[in-house]
Amino acid sequence: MLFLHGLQRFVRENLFLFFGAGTGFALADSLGLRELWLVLAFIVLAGLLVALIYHRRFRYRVDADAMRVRKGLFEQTEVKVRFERVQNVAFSQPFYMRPLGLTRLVLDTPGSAQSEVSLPGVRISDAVGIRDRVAAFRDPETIAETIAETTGRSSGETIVAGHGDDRTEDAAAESANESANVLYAPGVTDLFKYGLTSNQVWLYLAVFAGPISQQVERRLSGWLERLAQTAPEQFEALSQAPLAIALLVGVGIIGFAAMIMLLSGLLAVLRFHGYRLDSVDHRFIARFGLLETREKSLRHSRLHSIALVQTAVGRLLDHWHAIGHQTGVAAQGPGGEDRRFLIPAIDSRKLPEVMSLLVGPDWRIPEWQPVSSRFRTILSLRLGLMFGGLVMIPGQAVFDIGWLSNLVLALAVVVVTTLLVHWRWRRWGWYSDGTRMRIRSGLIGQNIIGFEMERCQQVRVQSSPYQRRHGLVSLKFRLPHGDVELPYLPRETADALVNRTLHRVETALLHAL
Amino acid sequence: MSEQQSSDHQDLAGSPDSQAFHNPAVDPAGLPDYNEPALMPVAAPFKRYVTVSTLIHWALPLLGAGVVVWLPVLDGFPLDDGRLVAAVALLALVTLLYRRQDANRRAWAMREHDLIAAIGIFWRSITVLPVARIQHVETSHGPLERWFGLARVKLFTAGGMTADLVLLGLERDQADQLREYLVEQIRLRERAGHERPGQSGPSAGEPDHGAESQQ
Repeated sequence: MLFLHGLQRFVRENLFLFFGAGTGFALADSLGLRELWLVLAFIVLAGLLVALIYHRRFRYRVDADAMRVRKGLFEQTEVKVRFERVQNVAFSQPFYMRPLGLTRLVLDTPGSAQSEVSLPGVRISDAVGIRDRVAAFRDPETIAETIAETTGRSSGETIVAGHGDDRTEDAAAESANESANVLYAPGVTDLFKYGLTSNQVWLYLAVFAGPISQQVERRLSGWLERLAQTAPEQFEALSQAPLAIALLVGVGIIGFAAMIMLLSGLLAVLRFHGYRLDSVDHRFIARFGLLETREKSLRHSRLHSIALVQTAVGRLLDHWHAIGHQTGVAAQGPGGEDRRFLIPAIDSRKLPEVMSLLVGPDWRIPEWQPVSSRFRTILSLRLGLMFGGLVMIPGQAVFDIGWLSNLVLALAVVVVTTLLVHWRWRRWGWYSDGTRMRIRSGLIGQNIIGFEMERCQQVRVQSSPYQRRHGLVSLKFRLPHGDVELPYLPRETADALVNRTLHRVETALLHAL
Repeated sequence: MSEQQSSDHQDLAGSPDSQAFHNPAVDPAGLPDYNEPALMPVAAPFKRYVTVSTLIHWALPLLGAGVVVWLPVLDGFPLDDGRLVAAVALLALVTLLYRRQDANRRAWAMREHDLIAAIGIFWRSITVLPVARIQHVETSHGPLERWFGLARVKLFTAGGMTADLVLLGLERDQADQLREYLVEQIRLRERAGHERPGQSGPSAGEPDHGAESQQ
């Protein structure tokens, strides 16, 4: 056993963080320049003061088996986290911390967000020391194995139970260049492509489309007015050619979309720059980021399921990404930050290789078992009727577009719905080898979730009257991160799967007992 | 309890397993069937409880409708006659019948390793919750439930903030027994976990709050 007793230290709080605090003043317009400066100076000063006090009041203490953090401006809170409960240790280092040799350290624990510990600015060596301590506390068996494995190695392995404080510098240096075990490192092009495919694009599009289109509209109408005044004959010619205008608008939209995609690609490169996935001491470690260097780690035994995602654009580019779901870690942190263990930018050709490293040897995409075609029948019927009706009724009552064209429109809607439902149905698929289960879903893209059956927390068998008439049921597997659904299976198949899953869950635990 | 892995889980990590591990073939048809145990209906007073609670819930809307119709405070309000009261009463009646039928269909069973609960009239569902996944058990009863000698059992698994499964309409004694039994199971599991230090997960047994925090 080792003791870092009485190690009590100031956290080298970084002040920048607090500069932004309380900058919610939108009245800048109504103030004069001098007032503005005054307000600004005041805010900076107040921010500085708050940061200083916060810094002074922030204390942490590392004990043998736990860490304690006391903080708070007005209300002091003290949080104690026992190392054995820590799920995950994450580092992140914004660029401005880099020259100072500081990093931000977060200890994830199961349970509420309030009870977790985040040290906003500690020396890298200290952070690594804490990480190792936590790791050493995790599972003694693993540690024993690790020691046995690594006795032959030269430098200090990251986790050696019993190393002292002085070794942490060593470990820090080592953690910077331990590259022996790189599992996956996508190139810049891959990352750029990931930016194009990631669903974030639509978010950017939604954020920027509104203001930009407004701007464009204003400019354009202004330009047209001027044109009408200065050169009436040209304006005349322009209004004669609606096709040209439509083309112009189309090109504009495509250009805008291309720009957004470019932006998204660049952001992805920035965010995931130098992404490297290692496997060290029964943990996966991902390091990435240009401006903010992050390190996320995930213990092998914590990984209960992996979601493989191919977005619609990803299908065009033949690109995937994977998300490792881990027990007891919410997908989003308290600040809304992304907590998922993401492996971006996996090219289709590299997919089996990467997945084999993550899941087990000889990973490949299996032969999917389909779900019942009644899924398609009932869903296209229901949705077709619904959407067809939705088009038909207002078309008749409000817009009065004529009986025949309305019918044609409604039929078109029904056809499109049916097609989409068909795609959706075709995407549903499952495969189980009796221990692992994989379920595929999606519409244009696809989402494959693979999980250990023994990790299920609950199984639910659902049936509607229609399903019961045709001997079908839908299954819902509850995993630590959420529910996974598998609709419209024949009753016997589903029962066998449920029984198998329960058997796995219950015997796995007997085994553990 | 996901911490407690069987050793073949090590395959996930792609690392060889050092422990001896047996994996005899299992005949899928021979596995215990979750449909097998006969499910027990909920306690008989539950139906009466449902009736009373529905009536109490609907008393206020009915009263409101009555005020609108028979008191002259809201003259000129549309539907200002008996039809409004009739409509509300009809809704109440439909709800009442539905909930009574729902009470009829609620059933549950406790197996050695899991708990099975069935609900639903049209959209039916059967939920199976392995005992091994239960972190925390709670029984509770409102005043009305107390009056009828009923209680509900809430079962929590790791990760969730809300109860994963709620068994409504158990007799008080039954609910307490069930809770005690499950708590005992959790305790046994925890002790077993401690005897094998390698397997003692952080989630072994005790309620899953990562840290103790105090003001």
